[in-house]
Amino acid sequence: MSCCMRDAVTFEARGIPTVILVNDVFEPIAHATAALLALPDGYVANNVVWLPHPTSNLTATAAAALVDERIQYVRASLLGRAVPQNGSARGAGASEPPTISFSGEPDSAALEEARGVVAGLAESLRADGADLALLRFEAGVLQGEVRIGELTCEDGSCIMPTDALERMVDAMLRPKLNGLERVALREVRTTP
Amino acid sequence: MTFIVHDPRGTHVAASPVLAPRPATLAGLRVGVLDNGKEQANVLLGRAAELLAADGTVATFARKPSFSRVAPPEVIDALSMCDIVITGLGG
Repeated sequence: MSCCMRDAVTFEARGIPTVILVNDVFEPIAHATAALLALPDGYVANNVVWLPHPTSNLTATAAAALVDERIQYVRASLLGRAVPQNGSARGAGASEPPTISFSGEPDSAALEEARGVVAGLAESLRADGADLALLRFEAGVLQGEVRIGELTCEDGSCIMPTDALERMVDAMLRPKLNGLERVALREVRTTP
Repeated sequence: MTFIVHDPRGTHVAASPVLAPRPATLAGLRVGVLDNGKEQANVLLGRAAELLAADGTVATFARKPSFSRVAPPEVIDALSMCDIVITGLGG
């Protein structure tokens, strides 16, 4: 999702209107990426067309039917007349959680609240066979792990690069988590 | 001697990327289809291109070598001849 959006922005910069079709489980990543790229408000709503996750197990007929039901949104987005889509109820970023206070104690309630903020992102990663765990928040450093269970491509890079995830988690939490100075994620890989 | 001391504090506000103007109609447009390589992406995007053809569009297809990387320049260049692009997907 993140790379699709970066590609879309590249085309937009070349003057080519671009619409992204993607599974709704990636909605948290879409909002986080849009924020990271400083895209205008409403970019995700106007330029992403959602499909119900998962789509990988659909028959060709069922996959075609999904697109048939949503082609009106694709057309509308390409023409700059996007309309609200049915079925996209996740609404990541729609309601702003309150600022999280940091008590100064390791493993404080702030850590638990931070986990709640990135829960949607972690769910998106699980859809790609990985996971995100926030483990510790000490001295301004939020530490966690990106757990990659099964490698799904030759070089194991199918999951979003860890440094990109660090920036994404930072962007999601910095406005909300008082005292956050740095996000440090450790990549944990296990071969199947 | 005068010293200029810069305050390193503050926040950086990135310039918002510029989005392309939208066309008034799809008729006669070339649509680039960028498949990110995920399972079923070709099926789903292919169907979208098929339906858009009814609007008078003509599709050009390209596939990324990895969905976790941005498209390589040659892929971007190949689709930059198009008027509109659809991309995605899968999972």
